[in-house]
Amino acid sequence: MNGHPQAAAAFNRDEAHVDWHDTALWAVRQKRDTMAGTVRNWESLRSLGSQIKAHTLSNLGQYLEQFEKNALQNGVKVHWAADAREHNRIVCEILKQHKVGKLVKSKSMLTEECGLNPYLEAQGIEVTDTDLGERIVQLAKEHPSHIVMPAIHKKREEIDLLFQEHLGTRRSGGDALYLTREARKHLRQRFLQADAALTGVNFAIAETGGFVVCTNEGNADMGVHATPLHIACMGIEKIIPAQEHLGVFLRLLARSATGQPITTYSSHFRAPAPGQEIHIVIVDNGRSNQLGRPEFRNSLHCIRCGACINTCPVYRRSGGHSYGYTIPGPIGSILAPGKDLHRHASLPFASTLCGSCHDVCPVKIDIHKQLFRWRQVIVREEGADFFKTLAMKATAFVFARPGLFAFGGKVGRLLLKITPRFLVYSRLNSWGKQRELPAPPGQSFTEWYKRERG
Amino acid sequence: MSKSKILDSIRKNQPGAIPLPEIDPALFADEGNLREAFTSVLTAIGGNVHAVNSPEAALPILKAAFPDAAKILCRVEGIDLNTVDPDSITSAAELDDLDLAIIPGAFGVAENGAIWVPESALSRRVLPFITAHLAIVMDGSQIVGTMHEAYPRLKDFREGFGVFIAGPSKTADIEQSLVIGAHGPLSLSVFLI
Amino acid sequence: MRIALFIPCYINQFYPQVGIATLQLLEKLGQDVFYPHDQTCCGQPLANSGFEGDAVRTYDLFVRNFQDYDYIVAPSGSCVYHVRHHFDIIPQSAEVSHVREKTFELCDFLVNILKIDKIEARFPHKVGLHQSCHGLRGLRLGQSSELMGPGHASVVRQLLAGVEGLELVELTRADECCGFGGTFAVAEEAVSVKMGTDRLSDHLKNGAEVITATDMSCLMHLEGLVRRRNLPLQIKHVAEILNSKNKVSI
Repeated sequence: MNGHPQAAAAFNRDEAHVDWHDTALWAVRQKRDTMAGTVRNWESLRSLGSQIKAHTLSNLGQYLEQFEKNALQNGVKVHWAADAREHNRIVCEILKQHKVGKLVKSKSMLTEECGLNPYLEAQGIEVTDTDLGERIVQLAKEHPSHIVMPAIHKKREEIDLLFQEHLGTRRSGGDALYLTREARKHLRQRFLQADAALTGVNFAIAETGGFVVCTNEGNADMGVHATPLHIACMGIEKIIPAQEHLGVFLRLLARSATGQPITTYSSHFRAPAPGQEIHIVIVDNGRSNQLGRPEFRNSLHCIRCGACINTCPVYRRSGGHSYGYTIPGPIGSILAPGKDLHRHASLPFASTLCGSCHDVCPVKIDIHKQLFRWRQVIVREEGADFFKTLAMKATAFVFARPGLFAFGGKVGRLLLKITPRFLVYSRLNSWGKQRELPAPPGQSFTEWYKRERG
Repeated sequence: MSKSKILDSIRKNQPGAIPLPEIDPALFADEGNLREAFTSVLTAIGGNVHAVNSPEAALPILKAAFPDAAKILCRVEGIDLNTVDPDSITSAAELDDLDLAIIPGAFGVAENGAIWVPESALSRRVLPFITAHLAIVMDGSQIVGTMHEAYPRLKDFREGFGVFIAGPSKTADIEQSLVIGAHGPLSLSVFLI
Repeated sequence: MRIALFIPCYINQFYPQVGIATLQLLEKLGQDVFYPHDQTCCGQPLANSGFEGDAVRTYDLFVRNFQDYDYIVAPSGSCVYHVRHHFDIIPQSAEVSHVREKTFELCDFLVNILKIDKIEARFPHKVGLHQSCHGLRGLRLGQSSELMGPGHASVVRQLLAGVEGLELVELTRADECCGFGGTFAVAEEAVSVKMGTDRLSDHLKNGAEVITATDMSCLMHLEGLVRRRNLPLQIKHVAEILNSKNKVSI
């Protein structure tokens, strides 16, 4: 089975690129540290964020209904989608009713999760992702490798070539300013020619029926305000009780995500502009199932800042695509198994359980603990491969028997000593590919102790 | 139909009630001069901040900063720079070549340099995004410390749209190189009166 | 006070000198230390691989071995973390609760239970401290770099700082994981090795001659890389440094 280890090993064939990727993301983590450090009582703010989310999840049904009622009163249309397929169908129907041929989208991991783009394209609708990073991966026919920095895996030279091919730019050696300006011109045309705009939702407020969308580029607002139809898609967990809670989450979000004090634009939508329509699609797609798993429930606290991804030493050295899931990194590795345990069985093992993700998370999701728990679920429900199972069962047998443990240790150390090097370091020895095994000592601690102390 | 299915599933799976914590703004309040803090943060995130005595005083600064601006839309009284009649605009496309928009800001937030701009301050929602350059004029005494103090001010806000604007639009999607000016304004000038 | 020494399985088999240093150090400090002979392992290798269910008998054995002591001390943050946090799947008898509460990592025990803030030792070398993750973020032996505000200083740093002649080098990344991660080291060989070599580069770049840690598991991985690459670095468990006397040679 191909999983994370194989993809990560492939990523590691270009060490210089791994170093670049690691350094770039570590720099974002450092910016986050600096910015979080400027906030008085940052840790209390994290606790507050976590507690508000926990409270919200414990009243989720009520808050969603309150949100819908208020949104309807504001003149917003509300739709409910149980799964990805229904979400795509609803969005497509709205677009068809409005005879939309061209759609501009701002970043929405939910629509990535649902596979909306290919669905709409198959229906003849032209879809343009307008976040620069997302546009880059769209042109490259790839998927985002990071939820906040979708094109972080791409080198500037690659982007230069991509733009030459698709936007007719000149060769610039990857001049970021030039390429960004060209993308601005290209996407400005797309905004003005579009018939509708689709955005994600960062926070939906039960109290007001309004919702907030955060961007730095201004692409969500450009699309939404330039077109007569705004579709906003949100997972059920995006709800917060009241407007005052935005204060907590907007303080946490950008600082954790990119080390900015706040995103450039925090747009508060409540009612459509004259002549405009706003549709909100509320999507479950497995989230209510996750709500029912107490050990994994707080993964629904996630505000999609990506801090756990930036800090993850494994992500930084394996790249987002190695995870094979819409949301890569630690948070994706605890969300993905809830969606499809079999398919994503390697993800909870793609971690050293170092816990950095937990300490950096603005809403205190105990990601490392959930990775550990998912491992148990996977072995229980999916099993492990034959050799791993055999090895573990044998180890368990030995660990439960002190005499056998002592004997096995002695034999093992002896074997390690007398076996020729080429056999010890054979292809089967993954440890020894690039590392030495410990030099076996003449006696174990237990043997020493018995001799010295009796 | 899906609505009841989703809500049923949620009600079946959601845990017992967990209390909602109180937010104590005092816990997060920083000491120090709000106006200075606001100016320093906004400058750090790419904004140009000017202290002026009146809206009129912004006029020469704007003229000097944007000498070639041909198409200007101004929503601030006392700054006579309008080259377009806001009421004549019927589509976003007509603002595509707008060089400069000047709008009033309601209040600022010191901790992050954000300025609240309600829909009523704009002729069209697209205005502060589509313009090549944006200037915001606001009362320098209207600055709160943190977002916890900002939202109480919006308690009675009932407009269809409002936005916190913090600096010019920006992106770092090409190898993390920061570029000011993505889809929105290439620059943000803020005049504190 | 009766203290039981818990020597993790791989230390027992491969690094007896770390166990000896731990024992000698505690005895030097006047403690009554016992070593239950029938101990094997805490079961972490099984549980971290997803075979928690198969580890139950190992947990039971662990509790039987250690339940009669006031404290259980181990030269490993990771194993202690496992006992404290993952022995929650067996029935929580008084014995189990006692063992979970009273199992301590060595430095934690010295500073927080014995209230020792300085150890008489001499180790005239430039030392890089690798902050093993389970000790740091699991047992909170210090404040991780992710957390903000005043936190408590690392107990390990505190003890090392008191060692005569020892110079602690500051690392560029103070507490990044080394990439060991148990079976991760084998299952994710490529990433594990890259993480390890990156850590070593950080130590070398900042002038470390010796790398130390609370956990021999991290050090086993780093030592494997050092030896294969012939890097100018020595690997010492923190117990070995704290137990070193005058004129040590390494």
